[in-house]
Amino acid sequence: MNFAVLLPILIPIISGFIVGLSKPAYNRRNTIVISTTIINLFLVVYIVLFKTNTLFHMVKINELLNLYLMPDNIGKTFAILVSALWIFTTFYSIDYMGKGDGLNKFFMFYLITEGVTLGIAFSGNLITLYLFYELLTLSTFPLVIEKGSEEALRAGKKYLIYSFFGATMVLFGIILLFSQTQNLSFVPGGVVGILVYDNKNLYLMVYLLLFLGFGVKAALVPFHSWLPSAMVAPTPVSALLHAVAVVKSGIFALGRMTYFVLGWRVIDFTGGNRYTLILVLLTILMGSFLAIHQENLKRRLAYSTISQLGYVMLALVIFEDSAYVGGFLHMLFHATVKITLFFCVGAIMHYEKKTELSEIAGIGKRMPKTMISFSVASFCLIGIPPTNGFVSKWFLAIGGLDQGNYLIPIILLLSAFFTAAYLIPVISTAFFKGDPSKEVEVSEPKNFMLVPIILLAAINIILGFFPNWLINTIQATANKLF
Amino acid sequence: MDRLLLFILLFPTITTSISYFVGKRNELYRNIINILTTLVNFLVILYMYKYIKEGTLNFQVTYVMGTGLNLKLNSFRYIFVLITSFIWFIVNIYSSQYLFNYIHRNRYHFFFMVTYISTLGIFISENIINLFTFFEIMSFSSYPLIIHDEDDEAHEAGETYMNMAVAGGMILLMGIFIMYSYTQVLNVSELYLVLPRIGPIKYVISSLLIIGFGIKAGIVPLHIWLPKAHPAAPTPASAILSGILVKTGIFGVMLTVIFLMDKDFYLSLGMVIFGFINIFTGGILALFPVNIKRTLAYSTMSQIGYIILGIGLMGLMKDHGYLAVYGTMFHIFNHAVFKVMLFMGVGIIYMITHELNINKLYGFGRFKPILKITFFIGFCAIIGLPGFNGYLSKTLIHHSLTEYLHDFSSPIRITVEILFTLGSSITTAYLLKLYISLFVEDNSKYYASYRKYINKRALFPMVISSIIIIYIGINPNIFERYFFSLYNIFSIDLHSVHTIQFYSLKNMFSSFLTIGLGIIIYLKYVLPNLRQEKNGHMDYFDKTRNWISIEENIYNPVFKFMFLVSTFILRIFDTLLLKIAAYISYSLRFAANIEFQTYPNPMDKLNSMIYSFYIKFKDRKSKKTKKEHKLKDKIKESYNKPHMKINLSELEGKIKDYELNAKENFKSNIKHTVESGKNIHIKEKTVNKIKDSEKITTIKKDFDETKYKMNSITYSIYLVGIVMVVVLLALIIFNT
Repeated sequence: MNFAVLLPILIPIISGFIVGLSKPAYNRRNTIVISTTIINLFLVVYIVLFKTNTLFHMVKINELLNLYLMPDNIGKTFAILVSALWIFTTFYSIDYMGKGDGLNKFFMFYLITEGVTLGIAFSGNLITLYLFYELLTLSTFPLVIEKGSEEALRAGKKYLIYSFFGATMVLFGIILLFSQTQNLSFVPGGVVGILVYDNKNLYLMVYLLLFLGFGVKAALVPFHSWLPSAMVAPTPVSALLHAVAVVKSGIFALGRMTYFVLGWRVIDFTGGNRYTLILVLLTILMGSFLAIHQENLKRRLAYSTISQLGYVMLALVIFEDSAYVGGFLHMLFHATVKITLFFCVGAIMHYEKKTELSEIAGIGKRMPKTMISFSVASFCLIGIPPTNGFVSKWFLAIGGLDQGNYLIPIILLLSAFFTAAYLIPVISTAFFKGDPSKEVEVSEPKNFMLVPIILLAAINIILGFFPNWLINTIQATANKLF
Repeated sequence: MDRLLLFILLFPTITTSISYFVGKRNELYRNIINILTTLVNFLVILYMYKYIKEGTLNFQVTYVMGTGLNLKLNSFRYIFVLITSFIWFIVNIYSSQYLFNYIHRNRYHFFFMVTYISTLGIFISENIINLFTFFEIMSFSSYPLIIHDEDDEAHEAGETYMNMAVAGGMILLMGIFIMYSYTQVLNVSELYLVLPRIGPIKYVISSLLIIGFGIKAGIVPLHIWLPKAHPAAPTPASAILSGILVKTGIFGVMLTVIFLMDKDFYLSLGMVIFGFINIFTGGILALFPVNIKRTLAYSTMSQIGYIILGIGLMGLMKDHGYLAVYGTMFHIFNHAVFKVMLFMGVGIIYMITHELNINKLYGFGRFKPILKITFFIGFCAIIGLPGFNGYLSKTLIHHSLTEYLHDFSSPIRITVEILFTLGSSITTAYLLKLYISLFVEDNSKYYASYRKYINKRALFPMVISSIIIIYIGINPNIFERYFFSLYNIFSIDLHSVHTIQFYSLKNMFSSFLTIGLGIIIYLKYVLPNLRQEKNGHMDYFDKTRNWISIEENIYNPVFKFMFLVSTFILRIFDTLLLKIAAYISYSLRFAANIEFQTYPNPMDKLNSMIYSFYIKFKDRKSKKTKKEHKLKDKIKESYNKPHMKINLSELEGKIKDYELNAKENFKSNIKHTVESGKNIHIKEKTVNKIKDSEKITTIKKDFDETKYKMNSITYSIYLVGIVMVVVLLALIIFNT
């Protein structure tokens, strides 16, 4: 039954084509989409629990084009994250997208993207991952340009250009690497090993090519500018793009490359991480600082994402086990936190037609539950204890200090200060500004939208209070690597 | 009984969440729940004294919040916990009637209770991360209290408070990061074994911690939020801010200097210096404001100065510093009681008049005996009049200062002595200003008694506090046994401890000397210099308005400059790739549009014809407005516009010049011939020549022709070249 590994990838793609080609009516389509995502979660859970070290060969043309799936612990965690958050987004987007005509196409690509993302999670070697990675660009492109306006098309073009530019670099890196190692499978500690002593500079080049190439999707400075422009997409899509699918796939691929293909000892030997560390620190600082300048709420969150992804990438350039734990935790926590924030902003956009910071004065009195969830998620993102953001940042900073690098915690804290500076004004404007004496009637979003928001906010709090089992699980994988 | 520690945190958490939902329906029940909660908590904490006497309470949960929850209560922490629960209880009673005229009362009460829980948490957390957690919750939950009124002043104060609180939290966290990285220990009671032995980095750590806590404590260059937040917040909130929240900062500073760093000499010396700076800055600044709450806020800073001075002395005197321990801890308790009481008195005045300006309130309390008496008791306590509790703790701090200076040379001793007396006397001066203008001056506006406005629930806490003040003042030694148990925790040599005679002649004399000096300052400086005649009344005016303000003249410009610079630098990185791409595409287009032809290209016409057909064809297809077309054409024009043209226009200009010159030449020739009077034949000839000169204009045509010829030459060269290449290729192909 190794075939079961392929099912979570195949089922969403098939049902996506069913939705796209048979063009079902509103209710029927919703049934298909919801049931697909829920079945998929169960499948993923089944694989996580019962499939250890299963290897499923898809195609083998030659040694290079050898496509197979092999879920390991990291992939499984990522798959759980993706398939769980996809359900929330499904419910949310059913309310958000409304009953328009062309939505079958939207949901078709929406489901295909889930399959492709799970493919990234389960890939067993770099070339399989690369294949799904390219497919992800193609399947998310129609989602980005869903509005069809001039701006959306331009943003879509930008997204494509950036993504393919990165993919080209990745491909070049893969070919160079394969020419040396003849092996691209994921092995903890890497496949290069002592080969690096033969040709140090070549491996440095491979590392930089792969890092910058995957870094495009992970919004590494200076390849980040597709992300704020992709904000023209409808909110569920931006939430997915920013919290789960695209950027996290970039991060995931980077993690695979760093710890499972090249191996951190090899990278440490070539010294490549010294260059990438500068870019990562710049990413952290720039994202959070420029977010203060954004008046548009979605753009604010987009820049915030850039900065938070920098936190996660920090774990990929400083090779310490506590940094690894912190980075991995932050990848998960940032997903749940950022998706909550986007959902809240999307609810305001959808129901109140307000997108700018200056317009939302007093909205906390009108949509209290939504805005309280927003505040909870903001505190998580800033990293105020006892929320989950604090836990991950704590491990990251300790990891940086263990390396003797004082710059890392300083930049982390500076960025946390900026995070507070761009999120707290939103909260205080929503709750404490505006006409205080005016009685406002409460009008919350519909349950399809509100329930995912509240559930996600609750998950954030629970993860903040009880992160210990998660920490222990990740620590176990970290022990294998270090 | 260790679980009681969890109880005093969890019980208010549960009741607060209940009371929040109850409060949406019924305000009375909410207030009752809140008051009962704080009462029960207070009683439980009183009951815990039984166990504290014998040892410490310790409670641990390992599986939460990453590092686990580790709570501890010993007699050092107990005094903070006790004062917190007591003050919260009476302020809760007070605020149940205070906020009658305000909206969002439910929100206020909710955050009031959250602040309460987190403050208790700060004082009983043993793990430094737990401490930081509660500290941050406290910082954020007190923000809605400060900006409760939601007016511009409140928002401005709230912004300053928030920036300072977040920055303070970050600095504190940085200290904790480095500390953990070096020591791998998080428990306060274990850190003192490791931290003092890790080399000079410990000073970096401890100064980061002190700055982080010091922002809350209001240590001088970090105090700027304090005088802003107090007047902006509603009175119960400012009472809490001044009475308890500032003490959380003090608690942290004390923890760092005394416990974590094991009474380090340099830090203690620094604390003594900062203590004096605080006493003086707070005291002097308190002389000027006309807003009552602002005066009290500066007064808090000044009183905090005594506590910081006491902490410094504790550190300097090592195991002989029992007087400093006694005095400091006692002053923390006393200051909380009398400052909260003074604020509550101000709150009553504000509720009736909605005014905090002493120029409008003068003479308000002249005929209100209860208010007057309670305020007077608070006033006496804070200036340290014998018989009130403030006297006791100030005397103790004074004693320990003299004892420490015992071995120093007399100039230093006398200078410090004078400084201390002067600093204390300023307290008398600014409170005398407040008291006399509020309760002694005569103002016919406020003859009415306003008895119906003053609720019993407002006076009850004030009366309780004044009873406590006097009771402690009369029985100065009631806490002595308790403090004795404290000395162990501070590792004081118990042989050095003696009983203190508070009401000895010498102590009384120095106290009266201080107060007398204060009265002199009031009479000689405050009255003549700070008032001016206005509408028949001597109004106070704020001299400090034009003084240098740390916030506006130092912090704001520095941060603004840094903000702008970093914006500029980071913007570059933000748009770096886009700029490069745009530049490359621009330069490519530029290169593509350079024209080397000097004649109209025959293909151009064809192109333009094809293009016009294309446009027409497209027009027929897409029905777009003319405007869009114009715009598009413009864009196209700009695209097709050559940016550089290497052509022969210069040569053409030269030709024109040549033509003109030729004409002139001929004209002059004609003139010459006419003048010389030659015959008509010649004239005719010249006429012909003029006709010839017209022919010269055709030079341009000739030039064009030559150009065409040249071109045909180049074309022919090309042709020949191509033929030759073909021939060559053919040769190559057929030869091989």
